[in-house]
Amino acid sequence: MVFASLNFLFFFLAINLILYYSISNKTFRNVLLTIMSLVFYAWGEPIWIGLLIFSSIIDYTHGLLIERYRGTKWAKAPLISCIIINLSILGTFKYAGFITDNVNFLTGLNLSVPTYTLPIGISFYTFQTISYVLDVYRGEVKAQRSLMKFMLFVSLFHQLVAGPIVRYSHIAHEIDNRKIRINDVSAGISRFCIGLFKKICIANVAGEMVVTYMGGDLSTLAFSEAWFGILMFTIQIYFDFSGYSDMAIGLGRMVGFHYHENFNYPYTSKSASDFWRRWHISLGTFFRDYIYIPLGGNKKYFYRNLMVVWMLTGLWHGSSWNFILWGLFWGILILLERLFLQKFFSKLPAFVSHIYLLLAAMVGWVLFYFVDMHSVVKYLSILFGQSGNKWNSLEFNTVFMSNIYWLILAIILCLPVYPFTHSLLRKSSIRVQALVPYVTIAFDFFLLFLSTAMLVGKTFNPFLYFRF
Amino acid sequence: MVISVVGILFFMLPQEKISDAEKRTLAPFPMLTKKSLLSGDYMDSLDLYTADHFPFRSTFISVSDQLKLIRGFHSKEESFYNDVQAVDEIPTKKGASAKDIQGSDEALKNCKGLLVANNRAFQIFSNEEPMNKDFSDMINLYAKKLKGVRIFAGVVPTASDFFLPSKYSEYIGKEKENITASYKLFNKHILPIDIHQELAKHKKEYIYYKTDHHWTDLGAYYGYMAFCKAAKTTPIALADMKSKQLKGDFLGTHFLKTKDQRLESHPDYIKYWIPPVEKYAMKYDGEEEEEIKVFKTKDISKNKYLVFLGGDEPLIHLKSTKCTNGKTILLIKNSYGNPFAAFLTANYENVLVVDYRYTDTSIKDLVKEYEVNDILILNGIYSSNTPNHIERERDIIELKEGTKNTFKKKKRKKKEEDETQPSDSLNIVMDSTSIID
Repeated sequence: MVFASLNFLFFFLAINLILYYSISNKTFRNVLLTIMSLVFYAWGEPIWIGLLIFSSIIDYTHGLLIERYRGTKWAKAPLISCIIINLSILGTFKYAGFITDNVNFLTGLNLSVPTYTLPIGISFYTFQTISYVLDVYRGEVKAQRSLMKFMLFVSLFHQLVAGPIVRYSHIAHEIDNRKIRINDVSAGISRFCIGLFKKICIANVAGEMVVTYMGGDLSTLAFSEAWFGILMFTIQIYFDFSGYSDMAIGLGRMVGFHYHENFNYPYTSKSASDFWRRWHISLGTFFRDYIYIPLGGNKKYFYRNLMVVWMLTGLWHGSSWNFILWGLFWGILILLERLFLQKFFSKLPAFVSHIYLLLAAMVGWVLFYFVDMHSVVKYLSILFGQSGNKWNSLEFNTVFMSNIYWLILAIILCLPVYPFTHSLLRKSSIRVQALVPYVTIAFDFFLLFLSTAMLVGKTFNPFLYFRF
Repeated sequence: MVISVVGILFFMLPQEKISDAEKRTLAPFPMLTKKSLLSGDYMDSLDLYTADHFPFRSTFISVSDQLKLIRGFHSKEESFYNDVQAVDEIPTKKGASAKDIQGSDEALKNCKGLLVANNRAFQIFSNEEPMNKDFSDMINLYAKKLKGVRIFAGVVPTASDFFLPSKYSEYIGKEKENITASYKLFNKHILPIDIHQELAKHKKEYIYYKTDHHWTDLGAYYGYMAFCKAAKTTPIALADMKSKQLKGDFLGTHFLKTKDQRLESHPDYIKYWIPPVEKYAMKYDGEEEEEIKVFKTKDISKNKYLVFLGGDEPLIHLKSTKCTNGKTILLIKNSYGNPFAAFLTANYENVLVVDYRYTDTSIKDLVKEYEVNDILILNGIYSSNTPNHIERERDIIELKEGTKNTFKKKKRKKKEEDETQPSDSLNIVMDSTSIID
């Protein structure tokens, strides 16, 4: 199931919340959430639910084993075995096709390419469980003794299919001790509605135009259309992904979980390293804490570590070369920034750095969007006026104008308007502040209403994370 | 908690099965099977079901339509319609032989949609994949297959070369370039007609409709003048013909497709000139023949362009009231030829009008049977760049003498069905809305 669907909003979520709030026993609440999460997952992946359960049981037992042998030389064995199992599952389901393709290409063999579909959310939950066993091994958290509670952590529907990658250590306490506070619930609902709006009213609208311009015939794509297309994809991927994270965080707060933020206005960054501190934070910190630093960080083998991490970051997003290139592209930019770019930009006005980052992000998204290199090269050549395609098209002018207000709204929403409004309200008079809760409720309804209308109107509604 | 109320309402409100507004059956409640459950199809169908039966669905849909409109700024002067290509681009007359000439999605490859500007609609010609070679090869084939007959070929442009405001010209392909390119590839036996040049001389006059893709009768007359130049014969003067005007306004195919307000408030009218043609002509449709009026003035309110020859027919035989020179011309045409044909009776005793889309007769047979002196192949700019039209024109010249195309029987049967059933008004409209023919 996906959040942005009528069945989720009006049946699944409604039933889930009614039951949850009418139960007061902690254990029953956890059982309810676990069952609901499994139903949620089975709705979209009726077959691979087995894999999820299998994977949870493995990680659960390994966690216990590690704790049992803590302090002895045997503790490392279950850790290694667990990581191997998890990575093999991920490798089999996600990378088998890619690996055989490349082996066939390099050796001239003709191995059959596996064709099964990627189980939804596998990259997210595998990373969550890997972080769990590593944290247990490092002694940062205690192993979870209850299988049910462990299943709850792995399968919690809030973040199961599209992130964020929640660390066990962040919610370990809340699994056992969480309270329903009215502030949390209303903030959660607000956050959810904002995420829903971002997904349905911004990302989906942009996505429809991405299909027209990036997904169409590149040989006749005009220069202006190419830039508009990549701008639309830039908007789509941010609003889709951060919208999902908002919804996950909101859903968590409705039932008392506090997940970490996953996005922090990435398009306002001034450098690639800044961008990656603000974009998909849970993934960046995962790679930092579990790969980059253990490899030696910036003290030992810095260049190697940097490239390994960025190659893996790319590969995590999908099993094809364009994602690896996309990861390396960011890695190289970060390297160049450390070497000299940062110094260079610091002497120039700030807007130059902003433009640099936005351009870098957009070029990066071209690599991210097109799986085949031929299209990447073609698209970039149109963007940089080297293709011989025409500069503008008649159709584009009308499409651009008929979406101009929406576009302005989308660009404004890339800026930190939400914190800005908050600080503005905090400074306002008490009378105004008293109105805030009512206005917020009305606003939430408004967003929910708009999103529902778009869903009922069956507008374009893609799911982007099938490759993750 | 409102979401739960909506959820409950979902079950309480009466369920509709058919949406009148969208003219479609709503998704039924899906059947649960093991297969559909395991593949996830069942869940997808449930999603569709929910969306189709949502409480206050029509309200939500109109909100969603409104949201689309307020996303941006909509110009009062101009509009762009790019989905019109999807509509019936292959001529289907009463469901006739459409299937046989329906090639693929590539029909209308060079049409990028419609632009409404200056209260007039323009087809946007892209010229990205010109078919000049295929087209002229086909024309040249006529010269190769037919000896002792003069062969003329002409391509009729649309209004855009003449009336498109200059600010759009950089985006729209020049039709003249495309036509010239085709003419250059004709062999020496083909006599090209420079229709474009003749029309350009008269571009201040009412030579094209604003709401329809065709030329007016006046435009067709200038096309006829261009023909006379190429054929070295004297055209009949406009002043020597009586003119008539149909009562009421004419809203053509461009309006039907776009429903554009500006077109509706600036309708066309149909004025026509009466050449020395016999009032009644013979129409041949397979074995059947029927007398028809050359200018059909009744029962054409759905599409007034039908005034010319009553529409497209496989073969029509017009006779001159003035000419006794014994000369016969065969006009191979699509709907652009309808207003054009009658003018030829000023110079030919017999005018045979063949619609290449509907005929099943070999051109060689016609040439022999009627002792044809001249052949004129008249295309529009889009048909001369559309593979299945070119193919169709090629087919009828490649047909062996005495043989007929096999689709004939199917066609006749279908036609009878159509005539016995009062067809839907929408269908009648659609019949004549192809924007290439």
